[in-house]
Amino acid sequence: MDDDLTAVRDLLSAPGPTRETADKGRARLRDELSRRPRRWVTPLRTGMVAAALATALGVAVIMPSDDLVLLTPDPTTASTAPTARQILLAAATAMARTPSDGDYWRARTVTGKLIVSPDRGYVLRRDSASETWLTRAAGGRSGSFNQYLGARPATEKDKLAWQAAGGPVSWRYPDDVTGMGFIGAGETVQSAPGARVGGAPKEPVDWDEVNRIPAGAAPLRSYLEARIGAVSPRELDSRLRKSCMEILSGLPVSPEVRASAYQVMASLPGMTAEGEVTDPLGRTGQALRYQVNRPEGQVSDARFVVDPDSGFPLANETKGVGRLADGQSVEVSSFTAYQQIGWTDEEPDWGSDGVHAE
Amino acid sequence: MRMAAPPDVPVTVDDAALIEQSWRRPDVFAVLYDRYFDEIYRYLAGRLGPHIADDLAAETFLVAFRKRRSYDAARGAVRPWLYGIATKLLAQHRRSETRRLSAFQRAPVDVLADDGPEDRVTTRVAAANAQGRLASALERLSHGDRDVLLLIALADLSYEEVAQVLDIPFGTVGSRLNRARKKLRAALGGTNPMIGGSDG
Repeated sequence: MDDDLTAVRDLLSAPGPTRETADKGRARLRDELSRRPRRWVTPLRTGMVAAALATALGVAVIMPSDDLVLLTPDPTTASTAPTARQILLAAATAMARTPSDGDYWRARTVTGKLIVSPDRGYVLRRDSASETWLTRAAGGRSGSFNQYLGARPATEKDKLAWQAAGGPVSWRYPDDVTGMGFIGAGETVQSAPGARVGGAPKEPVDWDEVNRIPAGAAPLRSYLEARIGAVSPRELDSRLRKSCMEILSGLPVSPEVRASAYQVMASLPGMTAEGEVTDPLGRTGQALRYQVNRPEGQVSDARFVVDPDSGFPLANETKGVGRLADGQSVEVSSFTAYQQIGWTDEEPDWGSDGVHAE
Repeated sequence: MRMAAPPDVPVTVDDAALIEQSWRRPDVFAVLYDRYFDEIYRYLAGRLGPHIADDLAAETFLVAFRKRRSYDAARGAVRPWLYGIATKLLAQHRRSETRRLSAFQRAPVDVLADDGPEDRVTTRVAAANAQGRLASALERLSHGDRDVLLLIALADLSYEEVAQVLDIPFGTVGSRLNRARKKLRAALGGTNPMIGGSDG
């Protein structure tokens, strides 16, 4: 997997430049730009007429694009944002009505990827399931389970291409995986599912810390801002959103705190409602598009799918464009779909192999 | 930026065209600064820390501006070209990079990396240990291997772009990356992925 590369990104992730740094750098560049005499250099293959024309076009094209560049940091605040806000607020209301206690806090998720096959002939889908059961009862047993669910052609069309390729049951990836999606160089993908493997919770929970997370939009926001510290406003919005999603999908907190997380998200700019969609598990929900600032400073498009009626988050997806051998572009993605999250009195299936979980 | 523009927004001028226009209108070059300063800064800050990045990120664009006539669109896009310039400048600061990686092994990670895991709500017990081992493995990589690895991991360049930027054969990119990743994986050993992370 890409765990090693992810770990490198985590270790070496740096906050963006402060406004002061960016302004200083721009001022240095501007000095340099204005110092250069405006010499006329005619490009080799263009005559004077073409050069003059290009300049004229340049003026016409560049001036508006300068404005556009200024607009790009947040193109989403205008007319569509209220809809995203409404969806999130409806989800907050519904979430507040979900069970607030139980013997266990349970999260069951399916993570998956759509990737281009190594021969670039079709799209594969590989899924894994993961379950976490946490209890705060003294002497109680917490645990987590993982299972690789296998890989298969993503659609009927992909299935035909896969059959034409001899129906392989294992896929070995080359060193160059450009345009194949979220897959590491040299990896092997198996079609056969794996066994359900149990163990201690992957993520140790500090209950004291969890209990300190306040309910209420304003207190929650202050709490998260204090943890995030001094970052640029745009970075702050992005990290607040990330924290809220983490609360909604990964933390054993009360429905009130989760409802507040929706409210904080609703107050942030940068989410756009895309209407009703089907999530990776075939469920219907409302899609909210947003952008993720990746540690290395790039931006990628992501989609959060929520069911405003039940208040539950359904999925979080990152999409990209892959390319097949015939030049056709296909959608590649990486997603986490949330099957069940919340408090329950059900018991986990500890398995017959006597898994020792603590 | 690689983000797709919403359909109702006119398409922005493409990077290579901007460079060519900046031949005659230097001020146009500032658009590239606004597009890429942030990510070039993060790349440099990730490798050298914010202090040196402040200067080097700005320097990258000055160098790019001075060399803009030698930019050849046939040899690759503007974005990797900028990373190439940044990486060349970085080569004069190898010692700082090594010092930074050593420091990661001594100090708790969140003291150094202000964008580290502290924004995560839960406590990550094993993180500090694993990151120390990772930093140590990174420090031991050869300069060439480390450049390839970090241009892919941090800058998200393709193999082809890395080959162009570092002026090395395509196959060398793959072999350097494999060698580097093998060492990192060995150093990371049995650490667990986190909830919501990549699947198995």
